[in-house]
This record gives sequence, C-alpha cells and structure tokens, in this order.
Amino acid sequence: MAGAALPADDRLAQELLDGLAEAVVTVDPAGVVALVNAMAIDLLPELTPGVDLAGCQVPALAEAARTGSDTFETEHHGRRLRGLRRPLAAERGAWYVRDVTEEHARTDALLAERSRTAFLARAGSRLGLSLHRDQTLRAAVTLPVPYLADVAVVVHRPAPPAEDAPHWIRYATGDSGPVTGVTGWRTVESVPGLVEALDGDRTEPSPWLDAELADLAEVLPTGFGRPGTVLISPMPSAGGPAGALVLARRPERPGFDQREIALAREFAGRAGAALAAAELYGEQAHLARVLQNSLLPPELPRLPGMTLAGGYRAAGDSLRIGGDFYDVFPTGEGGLLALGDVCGKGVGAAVLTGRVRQSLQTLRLVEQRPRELLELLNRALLDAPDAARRAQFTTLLLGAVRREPGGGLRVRVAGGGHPAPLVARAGGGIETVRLGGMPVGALTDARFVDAEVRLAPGDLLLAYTDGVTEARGGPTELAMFGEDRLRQAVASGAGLPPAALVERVLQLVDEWLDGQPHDDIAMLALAAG
Amino acid sequence: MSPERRIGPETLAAYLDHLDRADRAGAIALAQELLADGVPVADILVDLVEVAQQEIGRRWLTGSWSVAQEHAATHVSELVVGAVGATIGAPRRGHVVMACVEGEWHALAARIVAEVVRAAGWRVTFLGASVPARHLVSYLHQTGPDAVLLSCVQPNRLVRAARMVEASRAAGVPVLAGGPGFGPEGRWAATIGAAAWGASARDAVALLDRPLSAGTHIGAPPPPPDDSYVALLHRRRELVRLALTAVDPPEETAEDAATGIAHLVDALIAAVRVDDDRLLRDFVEWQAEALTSRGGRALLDEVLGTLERALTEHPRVVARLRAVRG
Repeated sequence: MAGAALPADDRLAQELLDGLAEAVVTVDPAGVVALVNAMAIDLLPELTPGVDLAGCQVPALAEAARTGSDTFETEHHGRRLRGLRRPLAAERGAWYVRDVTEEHARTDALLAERSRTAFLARAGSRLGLSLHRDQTLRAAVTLPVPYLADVAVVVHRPAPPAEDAPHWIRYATGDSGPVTGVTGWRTVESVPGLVEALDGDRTEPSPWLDAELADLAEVLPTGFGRPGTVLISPMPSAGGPAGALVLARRPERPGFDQREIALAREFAGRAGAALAAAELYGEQAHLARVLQNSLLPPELPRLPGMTLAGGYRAAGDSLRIGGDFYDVFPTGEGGLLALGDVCGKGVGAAVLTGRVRQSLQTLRLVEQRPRELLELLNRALLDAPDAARRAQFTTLLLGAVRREPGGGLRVRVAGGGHPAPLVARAGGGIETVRLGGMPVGALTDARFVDAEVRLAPGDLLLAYTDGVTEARGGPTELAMFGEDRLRQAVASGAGLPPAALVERVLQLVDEWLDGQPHDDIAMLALAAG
Repeated sequence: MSPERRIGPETLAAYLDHLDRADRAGAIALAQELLADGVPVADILVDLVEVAQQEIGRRWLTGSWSVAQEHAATHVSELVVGAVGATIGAPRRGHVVMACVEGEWHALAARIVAEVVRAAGWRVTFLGASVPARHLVSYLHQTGPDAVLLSCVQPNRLVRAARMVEASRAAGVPVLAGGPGFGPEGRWAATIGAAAWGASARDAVALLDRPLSAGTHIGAPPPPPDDSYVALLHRRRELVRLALTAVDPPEETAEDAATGIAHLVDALIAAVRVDDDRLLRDFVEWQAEALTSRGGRALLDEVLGTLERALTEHPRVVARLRAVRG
C-alpha cells in the first residue's frame, strides 16, 4: 500500500475499516479511545470513543493498557479474543482484535485428542507388558490416575481355587503403589451399577450419594472424603466380564464429559482384554509348571557315606525341561544313580524322560543290579503301546553304590550307549570307565555292559551327557568341548567336592559356548565321604 | 547386640582358617555358634562370609591361591550360607527374585544378598548363577514378583545385564541392580534402565523398604544407544578372532587368551553402551593387575591396538581405545 493514493474522504476510510474482519480500536496519546470500527462495536461494545482504555470494562485489555503490554487474550461475551497493539504516528496507537473462538476450539479439540491418543498408547503398551494377572491389575488401576480420575478401583473375581469373593485393587493420587483387599458381596451389591458392570452391563456416571459412601468407603482411601462423580465401567473380555473399573473424582473436579466417558469405556475394554490374556497365560503357565516340576532334575537325597551333586542346563527352551535327566534312589546298602539322555528335544523328549524315570522308579523295586535293570527297562519301554511307531530311546548309565568299610565306595556301573564316566583319583590322574552298550528302548535284543569301580576317599566319579562334550564354541566357534577338555577340567578341579566340581565344569562349558545355543547338559558327580 | 558378640578380626581369622583347610564342619560350627550367641543372620553373612569371600578373591587375584583352592573355599562358604539360611523363618512380605547376570558364575555374593533379604521377611526366589534372559522372562511372567534383584560383578557383563533389565521392564517388574559391575556408585545402573542400585546386601534391604512406586515399573526408557554400539555387537566375534590372530598365543594358552579377549571386547561394547570411558579403563586396569601375576600387560596393549585398527570407521570408539592404552 505504501506509496499508493490514500482516501482523503473520512467516510470512505470508515467504510474500509468497517469492512475488516478484525476489530480496530485506536487510542490517543492519553490512552482514550478515539475510533472504533463495526467489528469492534460488535466484539467490544464497552469501548466507545471517549472511554479510558486502562479503566475499561474489558479487564484483559485494561490490564494490557496499564502495563504497556502489546498483546492480550481473553474470554469476552462468550468469545475468545486475541488482541495486538501497534503504535501509530503522533504517539497514538491501534489495537487489532481477532475473534479466535473457533480456532481455539479446534486447538482444544486437537490437544484433547492428542492427550487421549497418548493416554491410550501408554495404556496399550503398559497393559501389553505383563502376562501376569497381578501386574496387569496394577497397571489397570495406576494408568487412569490422575488423567481420568483421582482414584481408580478394579473389582474382580479371582480364578479358582481362590475364594469366590469380590477382590479389589485401588490406586489414588499420591499413593506410592496400589493397595489390595477383599470385600463382601453385600458391599458390591449396595453400590449402584457395580453388580451390573460385573455382569458386563454399562451404567451412566452418577453423583455419589451419602448413603452409598458408607458401603464402599472401605474401598476408598481413608480421608478421601465424599467423591464428586463416579463412573463404573465393565471390563469385558472374550470369556465374559473380567471385572469392573470404578473411577471416582473429588468433588472439586468437574464430572466426566462424553468424551471422557468414551475414553474410560475404551480403557476398561483394553484392560479387560489384557486381564483375560493374563488369566489364560496363568492357566497355561500353571499347567506348564506342574509338568516342569515333575520333569526337572530332583533335589538329590543325602545318602550316608557319600556326597552327590547334579548339574543341569536345558537347551534353549524357556520351560527349562528337556531330554537329559538324572535321579538318585536310596537303597539299603547305599544308592542307585541314574543319568540319561533321551532322544529328541524339548517337551516331547521331556515326556519320554518322565516315562523312563517313572519306569526306573518302579522297576528298581524288583531289580537292583544295574545291568539287569537296564534289560528290564529295555523290555518295559519296548512293551509300551505303539513304542515302535514312536521310535524313542534313551542312553543311560546306572550305578549301584555300596559303602565299603574304610570309607570307600564300590560302584557297579552299567551302560546303555552312554558316554563313558570319568573317575578322578585323589592322587591325581583321570580314568575313563569304558562301557559301551546299546541305547535302551531301541532293540529287543540290545546288549548292555557293566563294570565295577572302587572309589577311595577323595576319589570322584563324574557321569555326564554328550551335551557337555559336544558343546560347540571356543575360539573357532565350531570346535567341540570334547573329552580331553573335560578331563582337563576335572583334573584342574581335583580335590573339589562334587558340587563345586560340577559347577566348575558347567562354568567352563558355558564360557566355551560363549552364548551360542547348546543341547541339554546334565552331570552327576559322586564322591566317598 | 553387646560389643563382644560383634564379629571381630579373630572370628574372621578363624573362619578364613576353616576355608583355607576346606573344613566344612568347622566353618558351619563357627557360624552356628555365632547364631547361638544371638548374632543376626545378616551380620554373619555380610560381616563374616562376605568379607572372607573378598579376601579369597584377593588371594586368587594375586596368585597366592589356585582356582581349585578358591572353588573349594567358596563351596564351604556356600554350605555355611545354606546352614545359616535354614534358620530363617517364614516370609511375611512380598516376593522378590534374585538372579545373576548371564555368564556370571560367582553366585555366592548374590546368594548372601538373597538370604539377607529373606531374613528381612521377603519371600525370595534365588534363580542361581548365570541366568539366561529368556529364563528370567518366563519366570517373571509366571510368578509376577514385586522386584528383581540383579547381580552383576564384572562390568563386561553389562550388555547382558542391560538385556535382562529391558526384559524385566517389559514384564512390568522393576529391577534393583547390585554389584560393582554397575560401576562406581552404580553409575551405569540408571543408564541401562534399572530402578535403583545398591552396593551391598543391606542396601538391597533398604531399597526394598522404600516404596517401589508404580513409576519405577516404567520410568523413563534408557536412551537409544548410538549406531557404533549396534555395529560392535554385530562384529563382536569377528573382533575377538582378529585380536586372537594378532596376539597369536601359544596353543596351550589359546583358550584362556580367547576368553580374556572376549571379555575385553565385551567391556568395550559396554563402555559404548553406557557412554563412559571409565568402564573400559577400570576393566583394563583390573585385567592388567590380574595379568601381572599371570603374564604381562603387553598382551592387553596388543589387543587394544588391533581393535583400534579394525574399528577405524568408528572414531569415537577408537578414541576410547586410545584413552586406555598403556
């Protein structure tokens, strides 16, 4: 516009000003309103020519005039106004004021949407973290506080065998962590909407009445006082409602608006699904744990006159069960040791392991001589229904240990296709007990071999599975740990008690592997004394 | 407790004497006498067994004890910890899991922490030495404990520790880190996302006494490591092989050398992970000290030089290596 001809006509100037979408207010050097345009009359009717701006009825503008600020923003007659001051010639000034109501509403909606999305994203990742029921419940009550409510309570029914009473978990602003408890059905029934929510039905948010407060007071933090509004949402899941989410706000906080109700329902839905997944995982984990406990290597019994130690590392299976196993059974004169390696890996092998251990447990009652026991076990395994189709077999070492006068031990060892055990003598020197024999459960006319070993005090017998010697690693990453290295390891640990020796070999093998995958590893060590 | 019941230097000397002779019965009897005198479980485990264990470590480091002697003595202390632990009553507080970082086999210190925490009333599950991360994860999902106590003694295991911390956070369980592997005053514990760090068994009890607020279940995620970290992790085995070829040790010590080099490379990766030269420097100094009695420092410098040449495209890593060369 600079340099163009400006209208000298006052009326034209006024018409131009009135045509603007912005309110224009000019003030003279004394700060008194001189000129207002049509939009200014509309938005700021209080500002008529002659009014002192610093004392006008628009507080934010008056404040800006007093402090010399060049901007203001305010809520005026239900509209959002934003003003900017520009100096004019001769110490006059002009305020340009815009109506930003809609822009502001859009920004508010955008920010609300953003925080809602952020909340749901956070909720999604936290709820997705844990597969454990208690952890999921903790997340479900901590997440909505303080964003959605001042206190959050989940009322839920735990899975059997727990008592069928309503359990609750609560988290309130300022709590260091969630608090849990059990209540009675009467309490639950007395809160309007709670029973419905536990049945999966939705109810509208309601103000909290005095009468109900007494009933659910035990669930609220002491000193919380009377809540303002309460929103109860069902926590649905595929298998029926997983619980109910109770959100309560303090009286000074506004109630839930429609968007917040929708958000709370959405959150309760996600929490319900997470809880259901955790319950399902819990059942599966329980099943797995029961299996695992029956299949994991046992705590070894303490047998008089001898020290025993076992070591076990399952191959890459988070259940920590596999095809290697050991067992020690007490007998009248000492004990019976068993160490074996079932063909295959993982759960399938573990199940056969269970059968072999079970059979040994029973058969040893009728036969204590190790070689004869191997033959009996061989027949039992081949005799099992559809044994041929499954083609499952195991390598096995059995050792019948007897105490000898003078503190030594006499061990009759029988082998079925298993790596030869080592004997570390107290005076140094490592011997191999060569046995050979055929795997158990493969052939009806399998041959087994036995030998006798004497252990003087200080001597040690180490039986191991091929997971030890066939562990691949080392500098080339491909070399097997091998029998030589194992003999060296045993020799360097001469004089160690069995537990320390087993631990040492496990450590050396682990270092050899250097994080590479391996087969199942099992060891059993025996010493006199 | 009256002063004469405190564990003094004579008691310690007597205990060390039992360890020196691998005398199980004597060591256990000594501990049981202290229990009978009313000395608390925590005091016996921390002020006697643990202090003795540090002395054993020192004897091994200076070469005055063999590995076998060290293992035998440690085994005796394990039995003592078991015997003392057996006298602890039923738990009355929450559930805590204790694990040693994968690759860490010296579990006695961790077991002592586990027993001291148990003596403070917690239900403690001791997962043992060298716990693979995936075992820890499946255990956490199955049992949902209140916290994980993670022991890391050597800083070169820090990368694995970081993985275990990540896994625990992902399961929503806060990790309390313990042990010198997390750096002086545990300075690297927070970097890898642990909720807190403690130096000792008593620290662990004090940390558990503080409320484990819901915030510690998530907290701020650790910063993303820079790309040289990813590259190093990727090239780890190759670097070990290169350094081994350069050093060319005699065959009978090749395996020891390979293990030592792998530890050094791991320490370098850990230093990049936590962005602190101090980690590598401390580790190299510690190794140099261990090597003085068993070899020489020249070997270390040779390895550092080889790594430097192999990693020229990562100037910041090269700078770290230069900073620690003798």
